[in-house]
Amino acid sequence: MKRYVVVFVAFGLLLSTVVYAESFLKNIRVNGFLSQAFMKSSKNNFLTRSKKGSFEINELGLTLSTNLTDRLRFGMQLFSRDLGDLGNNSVVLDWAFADYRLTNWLGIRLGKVKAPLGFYNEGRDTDFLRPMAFLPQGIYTEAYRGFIVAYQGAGLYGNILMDKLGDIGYHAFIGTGNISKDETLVKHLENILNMLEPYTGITISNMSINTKLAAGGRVEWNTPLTGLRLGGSYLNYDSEFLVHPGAPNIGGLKVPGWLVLSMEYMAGNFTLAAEYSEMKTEISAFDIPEPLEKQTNQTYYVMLSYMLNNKVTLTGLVDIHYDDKDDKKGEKFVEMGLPDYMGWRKDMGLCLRYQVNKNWMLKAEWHAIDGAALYMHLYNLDGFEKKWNYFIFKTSVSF
Amino acid sequence: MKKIILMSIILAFCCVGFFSQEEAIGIIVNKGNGLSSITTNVLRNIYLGKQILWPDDKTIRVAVLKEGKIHDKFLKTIVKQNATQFNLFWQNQTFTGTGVAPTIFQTEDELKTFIRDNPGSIGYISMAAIDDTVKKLSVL
Repeated sequence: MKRYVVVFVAFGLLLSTVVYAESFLKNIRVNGFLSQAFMKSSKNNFLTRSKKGSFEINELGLTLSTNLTDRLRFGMQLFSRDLGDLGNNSVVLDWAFADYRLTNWLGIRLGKVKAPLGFYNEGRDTDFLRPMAFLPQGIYTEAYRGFIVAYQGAGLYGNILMDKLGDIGYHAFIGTGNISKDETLVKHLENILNMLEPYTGITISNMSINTKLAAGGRVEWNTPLTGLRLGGSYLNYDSEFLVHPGAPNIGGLKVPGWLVLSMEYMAGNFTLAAEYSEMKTEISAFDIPEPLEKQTNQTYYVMLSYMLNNKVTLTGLVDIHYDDKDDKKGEKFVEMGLPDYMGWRKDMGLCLRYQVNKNWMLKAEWHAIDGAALYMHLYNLDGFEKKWNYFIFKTSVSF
Repeated sequence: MKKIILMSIILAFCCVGFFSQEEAIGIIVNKGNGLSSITTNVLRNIYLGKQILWPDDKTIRVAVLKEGKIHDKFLKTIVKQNATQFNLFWQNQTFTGTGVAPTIFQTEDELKTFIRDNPGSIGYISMAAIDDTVKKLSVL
């Protein structure tokens, strides 16, 4: 009898697999994108060896999605990028998840999912979705992309429709993250730990970060004023540093609270976006009871786009970032014998975007920057300056 | 002279009527759909992927025209976006995995056939192209 039950269950599983496989193949959608840029900067390198001019900026993505049933779908994106020393065009799984929608106001996502942080984090890897070549770096810095780009776990989302009061969209999640060893943030943390070498006698290299917890979410209200949406996001993050299996605890990075408030208003050919962010960080090291570094960085930006016609869009940006909101003059850097301007980054940018057709886009962009926050010292080991600028030309295709 | 002016006014009125008839948009659904009307708010929510279920809990299948005056007018008056903004919105949903873009049709006849054959589907075509293979919803 037991054998018959096993055979019956196996047959059922096989049958359902065949049915789902047929549905999977029938409904599969394939999309993709490819972009390549050239960047040239003055005085400081930015992300790449850009002082000499760099082509080391590209992105490729291939997206597959399918509806297994009316309510259940599956999707994934393979992603490859080169950004100076980051990525080097290795192919990674950017996101891959199953999505089950129970009602308009409740759906479940399981797998690796783009994290909701601010209004633009989910779309950060696709050039077509960004008004400028890079998102405002104060919040969406490439230096710690790895730990905010996606979560691996479970998320709840939905839209609460309120008729004339608009609607409220939400996405809450809990899980872990996946940070690559070549991330700028990891190098920065290694540097901090190595500053303690005279006391610990331990030199840290080839460190990785194990995420213990990533939890957060976003709520956004699409207001009755057509085109205006307001939102708030929150992230809580806890991790430990790993050197090699079996090594003693050498510390960890905590983000006990990252708050982003967002506003976007689309009216006719204008789009106005503004966000405010405060990110608390605590770095612990070895057995030192107090955090080695405990601070709150602060960012705010305003970005205004105007679509001159269906092809040409002009975007302006003012993006202000402080490494520590309680030390806006960078005095702690001066105390360490470093320049005060490591404490801030003030970015003014202008971008001309030309939509050649629905699938092909060009961007030409210029930025003037004051300050060297966000780890500029790691891209400029031979020194860096306070005022610098960069130009970037980028072309992207999608299908 | 008065007659000429009167004739000109009548002719102009007829032309306006003709063009507005040609460009008037009808919202169409499968004949099995129990609704007879829909609000612009609901339509906008459907076309921006916020409402994915009909009141009877059936999944909504959204159809759009690829381009043209009807498409542009529908987006402008109902979705409150232009074609570029609407494309970007759905590219965002597609490349982040957060939504499934509407099915795109080259012609009104193709879209109409899709609506006829798929329960739960919704689309828009010119009033002149609507026939009894689909159901027209009045927009409130």
